[in-house]
Amino acid sequence: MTIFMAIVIILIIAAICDLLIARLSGKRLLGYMASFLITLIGLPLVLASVISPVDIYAIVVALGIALMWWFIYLNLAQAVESSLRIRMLREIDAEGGSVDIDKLKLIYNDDRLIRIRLKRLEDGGAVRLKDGRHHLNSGKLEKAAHFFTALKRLLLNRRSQFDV
Amino acid sequence: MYQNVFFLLILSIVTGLCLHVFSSRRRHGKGIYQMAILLLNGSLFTMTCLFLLTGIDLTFEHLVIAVVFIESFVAVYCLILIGVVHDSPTLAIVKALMAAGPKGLSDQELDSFIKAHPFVGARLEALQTTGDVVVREGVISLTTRSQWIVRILSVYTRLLRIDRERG
Repeated sequence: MTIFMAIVIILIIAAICDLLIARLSGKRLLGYMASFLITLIGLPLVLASVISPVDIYAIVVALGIALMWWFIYLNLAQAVESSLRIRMLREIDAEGGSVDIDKLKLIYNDDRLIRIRLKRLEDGGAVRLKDGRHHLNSGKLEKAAHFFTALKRLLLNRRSQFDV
Repeated sequence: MYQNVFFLLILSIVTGLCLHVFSSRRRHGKGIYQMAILLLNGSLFTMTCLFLLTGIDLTFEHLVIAVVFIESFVAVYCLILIGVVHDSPTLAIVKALMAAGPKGLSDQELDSFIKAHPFVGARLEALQTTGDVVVREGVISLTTRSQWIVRILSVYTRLLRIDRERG
């Protein structure tokens, strides 16, 4: 019971800090980092002070649960802000709950979708445009692509959702 | 002491994940989320029985913690699976640029890439499959469930003062 209480309290504090930082500074990354550090450092400190004698395995298990819930929170927050499906739902809502599918496809079509994302990558320096050709310029994104491709090959034995 | 819970969880997760990889490959990803839930919970149940049968001490509190841990893990694993099953447009661009190598990607090659990756159609199809939108006579509409989802999201975005981005 003590463990659950500690997890819930720390997660609530972390989420409130994230929301406050986001609202006051507008910097999402700072909010995510602060909430992660509060969970990572705060929970072991709280548990070490309330569990007697200190049980390292209890702290590790509790920290595992708390970090998993932080990850779930991060994913939900990210989905609200950047998921294509959520954006389409909000677009339909802004049109009064129904919209002509051709009108929706004027805003959400593959050409526009890819070019907006490519522009964002270029603005962020992850892609360079040289002599009319686009070049990848980000080791981090390359690693992320390798990671998800490896998982896709391991679980689905294919490289892309659109592989025939 | 939580040492037994710790090892129970390690064994359950490793076994559940191995079984899930095996089942996903054999079933070509069919029912991938349902199998994750089933196999990870099944592994925890089996390992708990084995621990109890061999006389390893597990209290009721330990079991509650183990169940909460596994359910949290299942949720995290399913979130990762969404990223594995559905290609992210940004990562697909990155993969196309990686495949192009040092010569890079021309606009013409980019057009071919766009034609081969119908992201919007796939997402609209997924929204229809999950019952979040209905398409009737060329008009796409939200359902009662998705109206509620959008309302909740609006509260969150207003709280954070996030402007709605398009495209």
